[in-house]
Amino acid sequence: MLELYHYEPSANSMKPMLCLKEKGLEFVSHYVDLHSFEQHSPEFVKVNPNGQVPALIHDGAIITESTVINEYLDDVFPQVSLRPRDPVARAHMRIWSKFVDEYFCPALSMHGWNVLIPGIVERLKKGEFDQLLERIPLKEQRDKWKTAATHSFTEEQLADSKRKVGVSIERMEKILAKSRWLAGEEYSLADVNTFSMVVPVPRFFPEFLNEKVAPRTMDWVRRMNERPAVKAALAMSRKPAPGASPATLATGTRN
Amino acid sequence: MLELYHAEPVANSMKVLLCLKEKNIPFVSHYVDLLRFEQHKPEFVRLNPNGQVPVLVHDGAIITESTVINEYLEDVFPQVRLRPENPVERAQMRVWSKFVDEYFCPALSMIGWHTMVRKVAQKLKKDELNEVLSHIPLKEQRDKWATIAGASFSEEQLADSRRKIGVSIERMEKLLQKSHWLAGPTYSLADVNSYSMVAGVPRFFPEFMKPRAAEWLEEMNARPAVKAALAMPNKVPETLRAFGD
Repeated sequence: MLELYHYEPSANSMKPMLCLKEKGLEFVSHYVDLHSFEQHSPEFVKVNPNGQVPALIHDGAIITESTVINEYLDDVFPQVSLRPRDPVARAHMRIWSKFVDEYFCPALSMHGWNVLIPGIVERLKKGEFDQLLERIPLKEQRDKWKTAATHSFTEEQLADSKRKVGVSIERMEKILAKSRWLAGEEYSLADVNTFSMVVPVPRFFPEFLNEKVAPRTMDWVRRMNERPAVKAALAMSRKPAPGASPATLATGTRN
Repeated sequence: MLELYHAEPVANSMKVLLCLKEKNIPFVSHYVDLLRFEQHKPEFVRLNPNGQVPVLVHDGAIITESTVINEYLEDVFPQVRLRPENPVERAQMRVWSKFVDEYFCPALSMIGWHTMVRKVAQKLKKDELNEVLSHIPLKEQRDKWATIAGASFSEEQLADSRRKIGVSIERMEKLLQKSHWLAGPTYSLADVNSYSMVAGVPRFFPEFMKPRAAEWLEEMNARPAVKAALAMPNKVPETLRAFGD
């Protein structure tokens, strides 16, 4: 049996959701409400000691880290293959996915947290947030929650993260000038792993992603949106907001 | 033809050197002298626009990023296997390698830059430093050089990196209490990718070492491939070395 613990079809949760849909795999969905801090609950920490979504359970084995989950799914269910057969293209798939994990995603995430977290914390009763903080297993996550809740990312940090989002889109545009998909001519996990990162960019930083400065990335987004698997994964959103797409909701433009 | 551009058998260069030695694959070695900033020279930047080692060139195809290079070598030369057959262990290998790349290695790297690379940076005259900086392609790397040439990292940053090294060894110890190697019962890229990170810990942070981690390191040191990789050229002066002879 395949079970996925995930949040909205955005950010890192979207990566395995989209991969599962592309592969046409049935799975039991466990929605973890990050707005209610369910990812830090004792029940969930038993699944992932880091208290982070997504987490995959396959016949009892627990797999964490969205990028690794997607390689695992391709190792175990290779019928619909999402890794290029050419080893050089496969290496490009991994280099790009690593760049998304280490550079693009953290930069975008800081802005998402900066906008979203204060609103979530404001709804809590006095003292409740401190109790919730104590449950967060990773020090790095605890620090991030504290910083975001008090709007304490510095102007310098936010500006640098913004710059990095711009660099990421530029790098993407360069790759897409040479090939149809991010790891070559074949659609691959490089594309699957990137979709949810690119979707919120026009809302946050329209200057980085528009027809004029990044036409190939815009075209890539259109091609992604047409895919039945992308539509199916987006349809799994639990919190439809009037006028807001799931991706914008999860990155915090709705409050 | 297989060619590797690499520095000393330490840090990320060592990951690939060790993988090639474990697999017994002959390769042409191109030594890149980081202390002479060869990694930022135009000839090298043509290979890797990021100006970083190691870089693998295989029949003309350029592969960067040590963790990715090792998976590539496994895809192309599977005769000696360094990825577990069991997909769950294989995932564990990747989760751990990712942790090394994102958490353990950056923490070690900050301390290494502060205590060793800094000695090199501080010897540079102002115009020499500016000349060096002007050739570094990545802003993040440029900033790092400027930082160590100047006031270096803050006490708070250094203390946090030391803490992270401790956390990394603890996490390693937990895994090694459950299985012989880092991704399970089989030796894998998880071990290959960790060796050069752990090797310097007993000397620089003896307080963090743990019994199983120490046993693992001893077993690694006895491997012929580790010895062969450590025997690769090392032009770094003794005072700037983290481990090895």
